[in-house]
Formats: sequence, C-alpha cells, structure tokens
Amino acid sequence: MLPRGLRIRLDQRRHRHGPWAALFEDYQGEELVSLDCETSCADPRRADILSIGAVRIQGRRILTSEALDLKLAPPEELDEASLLIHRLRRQDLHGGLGVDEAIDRTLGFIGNRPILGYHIRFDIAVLDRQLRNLHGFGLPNRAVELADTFVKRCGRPGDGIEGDLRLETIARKLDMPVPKGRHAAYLDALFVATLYVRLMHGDCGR
Amino acid sequence: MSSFLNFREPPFAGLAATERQRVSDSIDVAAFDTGDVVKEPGKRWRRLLIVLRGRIDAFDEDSNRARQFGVDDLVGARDLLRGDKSRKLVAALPTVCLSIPRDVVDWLCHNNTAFRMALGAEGQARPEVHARSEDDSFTLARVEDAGVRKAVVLPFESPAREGVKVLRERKADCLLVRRGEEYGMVTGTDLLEAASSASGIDTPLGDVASWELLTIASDEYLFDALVLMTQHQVERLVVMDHDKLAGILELNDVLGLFSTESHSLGIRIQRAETLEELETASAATLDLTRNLVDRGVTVARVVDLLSALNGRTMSQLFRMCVPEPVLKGACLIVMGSEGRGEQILKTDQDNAIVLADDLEWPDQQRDLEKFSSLLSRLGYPPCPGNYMVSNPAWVMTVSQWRERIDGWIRRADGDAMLDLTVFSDARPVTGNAELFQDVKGWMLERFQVTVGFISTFAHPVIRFSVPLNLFGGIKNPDEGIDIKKGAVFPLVHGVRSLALGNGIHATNTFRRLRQLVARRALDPATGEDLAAALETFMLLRLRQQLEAIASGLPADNVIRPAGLPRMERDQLRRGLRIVKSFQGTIARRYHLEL
Repeated sequence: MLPRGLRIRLDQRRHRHGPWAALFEDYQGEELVSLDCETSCADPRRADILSIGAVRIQGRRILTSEALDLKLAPPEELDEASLLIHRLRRQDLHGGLGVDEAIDRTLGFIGNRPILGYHIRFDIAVLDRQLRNLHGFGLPNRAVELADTFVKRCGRPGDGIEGDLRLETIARKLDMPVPKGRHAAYLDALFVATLYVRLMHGDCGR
Repeated sequence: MSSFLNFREPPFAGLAATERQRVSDSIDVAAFDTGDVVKEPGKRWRRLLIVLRGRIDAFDEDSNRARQFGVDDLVGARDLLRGDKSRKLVAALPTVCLSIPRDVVDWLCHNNTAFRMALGAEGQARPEVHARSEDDSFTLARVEDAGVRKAVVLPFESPAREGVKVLRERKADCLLVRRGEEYGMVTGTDLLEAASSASGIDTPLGDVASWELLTIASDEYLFDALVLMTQHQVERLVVMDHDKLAGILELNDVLGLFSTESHSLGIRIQRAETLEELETASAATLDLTRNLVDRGVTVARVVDLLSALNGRTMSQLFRMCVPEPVLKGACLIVMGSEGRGEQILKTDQDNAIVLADDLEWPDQQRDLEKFSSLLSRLGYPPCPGNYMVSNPAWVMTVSQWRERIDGWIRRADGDAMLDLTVFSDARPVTGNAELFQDVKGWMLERFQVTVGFISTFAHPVIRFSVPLNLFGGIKNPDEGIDIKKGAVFPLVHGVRSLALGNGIHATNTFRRLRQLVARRALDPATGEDLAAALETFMLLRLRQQLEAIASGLPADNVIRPAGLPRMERDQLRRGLRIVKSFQGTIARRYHLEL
C-alpha cells in the first residue's frame, strides 16, 4: 500500500476539480476537528462503523454546541429480499444512518480542516475504506495525533513517557476528567479535544 | 452537547428535560493557561463558566483578589446577572471550563424560579434576567433596546440662541454641552431660564446646564435605568460606554415600551394631586410586586424599586399634608426595614421627623396626625410600637435628637437599644435631608467614641438561636421556623453592628455588606455568602407573604421547610448555616457570651 502522503497527492490530482474539490484545498484557518469512530472490530480492513463523533476546536474553545454525533445502522446481515420487498432502507428499520450518508455528513462537518484524534490513523483507515467505495478517494486532511502532541509538549529525553501513552494516563497526568455518557464516539472525540486544548493552553501537570 | 455537566448538582438539578436539553446543546468548552485573562474589567459578561479543572481568580477594580473559583464553581454568575462588569478574571492555573452562553442562562432564570434561586444561593451567582418573549420585554430589555438618542453636543461657551436653534432643527428635547471631559445637559426649560435672565439668549449654555448627570451604559438592563430615574426623579439619563458618550436615554422612549409598568406607576404617584389619585396609584404596587416576582426579577431588585415607589408615595402625601415652608425646615425619615429599603410589601409606618431648631410650625401636631391617618388609608398600618410621626416623641429638633441619642447610648437598656436599632436604619424620604444627616453623623460619631458600646449593641445577634439541629439539619421542618427571628434578624443586626462600628452611613444590608468588604472589615467570600443567604430568606418570605395575601390569610414569618421543594430547602439550610457561623464571627469579634 502506498504511503498516505502519496495517496493524498494522487487523489488530489484526480479530484481537485471534482465535486469534492474544497476538501483538497489547503486549509488556511485556525480550526481543528477532533474525530472518533466507534467500530465493530479492531481491524480497519473489516471494521464496520457504528458511530462517528466529531467536534471543532477553535483556538482555546471546543465548540461542543455544534458537535457531530452520528449513529449508523447496525451492520447485521439483513435479509436483502425484505429490504427490496418493502422498499425500506436499513436506517428505516433500525433508526441509524446509512454509511454513505454518514460519510458525507462527516465530510461536510470536517471540510478541509486538520483532524485530531487518538490513534487517528485507525480512524482514518476505517473512514478511507468507506470513502473510497463511495467517492474514490481517501481523507485528504492533515492529521494530528494527540499522543504525539503530548510527547512533543511534555516528553523529556529519558523520562520514559513514550512507554505509557494510554488516553487515561495522559488524562491523569493532566488531571483532566473523563466525560461520561452513552455516545461512545462523540465522547472520545470530546475527551481528546479537551486534552488537546489543555495541552496547548497549559503546562504538563504532574 | 457536552457530557461534563452534572445535572444532578445545583443549580442544574431540577431542570425540566427541555431545559436540560437546551443547556446541553449550548455548552462549549474553553481552556486557559495560567495568567490568561478570562474577562477584561469593564467588558460585558457573555457566558457563565463552570470550572472543570484549574482555578480562576476574580479581581476587583483596585486589583485586589476578590474571589477564587475552583473545580465545579460557577464563575461570576452574580456579577453577570447584576450587570456588574467591573471584575477582571484571570486563570490562576491551567484551567478548563464549561461555558454556557448568557442568553441561555437568562432564559433558564426566567423559566425556572428554582434554578434562579439555586444559582443565587450558590453564593457566586445572582441571576436576574431572562430570555426574550413578547410579554416580558420589561425585565429583559437593555438600554440600547429602548433606542438611545443621539446627543447633540455644543461647546459650553455657545450662546443659548445657538441651543434654541439646534433644538428646533433637530426636534430634540435637550442637548449636551461639553467642558473639557465633562458633559452638562441643557433642556428646553433651561433655555427658557436663560432667555429670562439678564443676558438673555446670549447667556452661555454652560451657565444654565446641569452638570451633575446620571449615567448608564447601553448594555445595562433597562430595569436599572428605571430604578435610577425613579430614585432621582429625572426623565433623562446620559448613556456612556467606557467613558465615551453614546447618547441620551429618554423616559418617554422607555415608557413607550412599558406603558403600564413600574416607572409609569412612579410617574402616576408623583403626579397625583389628590389623595384619591395617590390611593389608586399606590394600590397598584402590590400587583407590580407580584408581577415582577413572577417574572423572575430578583428580590434585591424588586425591593429597590418598591422602596423607591414607597418613598415616592410618602413624600407625595407629606407634601399634601404640610405647608410649603415646613419642607425646608423638616425632614421626614423612614426607619426599620423601610429605612433599609428591604421592605417588600407595605408595612407599618415606621417614621419620624427631624426639625430645624428654629422652625415654626403652628399646626404641627394636627398636620402630622392627618399624615399618619392618610398613610393608614393608603395601606400603611400604624406602627404597633408607635414609632411614628403622630407620636411627638419621634418628632424632634436636631438638638433634641442629639440628646436623645446620647441618652440611648448612656442608658443602654433594652428599650434604648430597640429605639436605637430602629433609628440606625433611618433614611430621609423628603424635606431637608441635611437635618437628618447632621443627626446621623452625630450618632455614628458617638458609636465610635463610646468604648465598648458596639459590643452591647451587637449582643442581640446571638439572642435567638438559628433553627438548626446538632447535625446541621433544619429543626422542626413540619411545624415551620420563624425565619425573621432565627435567620433574618441575626444576619441584619450583625451587619448593622459592623456597619455602625465602622462608621458606614448606608442602611441597606446589601450595601452595608459591600462597603464592609470594601473597607476590609469583612472578607469578600463571607460578604457574598451573607448577601446570598439574605436574598434566599427574602425571596422565601416574599413568596410566602404574597401567597398568604392571595388566600386572604395574615402574612407571618413562619416558613415550613417540609413544604418546600428539596432544592429550596437545601438553599434555606445553607443560608441558616451561614447565619450560624456569622453569629460566631460576631460573638468572637465583640466578645459576646454565647
């Protein structure tokens, strides 16, 4: 598989005049989108997306009031015949979005802003797979890895900080609370976003 | 959407589902590094912050740290809703906050009395006002909503003829003149006065202008503008934003918005020429009270307005009862809670008069008896203790008052102390206020110089015990507690003692508290706690009295905690604990035996 940077270049050449051209423009603003996907398994090649959560970060503010929180239709193999007969879509049966619509809404929310996440490469890989099926390109956005940001700002040579970069450990070091609730993807996106603004606007804590 | 806010904690506990949803939907998160300025002094509060991690310090105008806000604290809600913009907020540690926009807070306060109370009783929060809807524009509107008029400004040397020309051209009622940084106001009446003076319409505008102007900022609540106009009996305020002239607020524009509301009531009282007119106007104050409380205006504010209206009524009646010259040689004062401006419903006539030593007033007794009986007719019943002007013992000259005060302090027995307590809350209502200030100044001085007197004076603070049991719960929740004896009195008298001991002239308890804090006689947190506690008591009492009146029962001071919603009961308990600890503070400070 090609490195991500190269793939993005190729996608860009093909799509920069297409309907999604805006996604391929260089981002000029100050914002970031913290993004997380909840999936059915840990292998990005097979994982189905269960929910997508995202929230914009604008300087020191996290715009939770305009967050994205999408629940997708569950991936069980449905009886295709019944879908045909009743002319129903999956989401009509299960109250969740179809994956195509979810992907498009996510693209609309992110735009060409850089995306932030924890193990963000996994989320990108999962989204890219669906996105390629749908539009023929992968996410072109610049990616910011929270764990890298943490090491960059708080790591010192020899302190072994690279050893334990679990989200909970980072939160504990920064003395930050864990958000509670039922929206797994959104909560993780929010959690990462709070850790990020805390890192960018504060010291390294304990 | 945020998941950090705990809706089980006050003040958010008890929100309806739709209210919770609106809060959830509006919350953002914000991060600040150590030393980051969260709010500049003089800037409007745009959001309510809740500290998630870290700490924010509030600084007053003199850069003293006034308060710290730690984890889970609501930051500056009280100032936010009071419209007090003076404080500066700075992050003392790396801090992450939840942030709720002001319009949502306003909307909640308006919809939900319990939320408003809880926010008030948090000790950090004092909301007053509410979201916009058709019928409550009154409590919500800001000065700018009434339409601030552009002011015409002329140099103060300009001749009056220039002013006349400008007013005619612009169809304005008044103009401003400028002298250096200072502004004066010239109205049509002032121009007439200029025209009739020796130099006629060549008189410089500066000579006829009034230079003592009342100002307000354009983002302050119109309600406050009305209180200001009502108190000072003026029809125009100068609107200044950050020391820059923004324009003029005209009473008529305000009344255009609220034709039947409080100020027009004030005007009706002021313009009443017959007793009947005064009676009708004055009877409307009860409805107004109910109305304002229902709309969620805070008690402190309602009380401010009503005491202005009560004062206006008494002043108007007094003018009807006494001959013109007496007004220069006598000062009508109100005492007790009316004097503190903490009386919500009309109550007993607690009033007295200070006379100039050389005043001649032949029909004095007859006039004053008439005044008292007419006051009763307007709904102010005679004072059971006979502290009223129809009692000659409360109508004295300046020198007689001084002697009386000396006598009280010398005797220092129960009766003397009671009289002194009532008198020490006095405030002038009409007539020559200097006479009263003379006597008051004398009293404050005596207080300061008489060794140990304040201790004697303060002693009743600990006379009644706060109705809390050993475990800090409220005693007798089912039978009810006397909130006046067990809560309001110790608080008010303690603050009164401190204020008098520090030579503070203010009589209103909230104002006394502010001044005590400013003079460092009280630490800011205690000051805020006490103010919040008093406001809780007052709101509970007021609501109960309104209910009693509505159901035709006599209003008393007994509150049944068991009948209150849980959150209000918690606020009450919290308030009682604050009073209890304040009793201890006073006892230690004045070496009282508990």
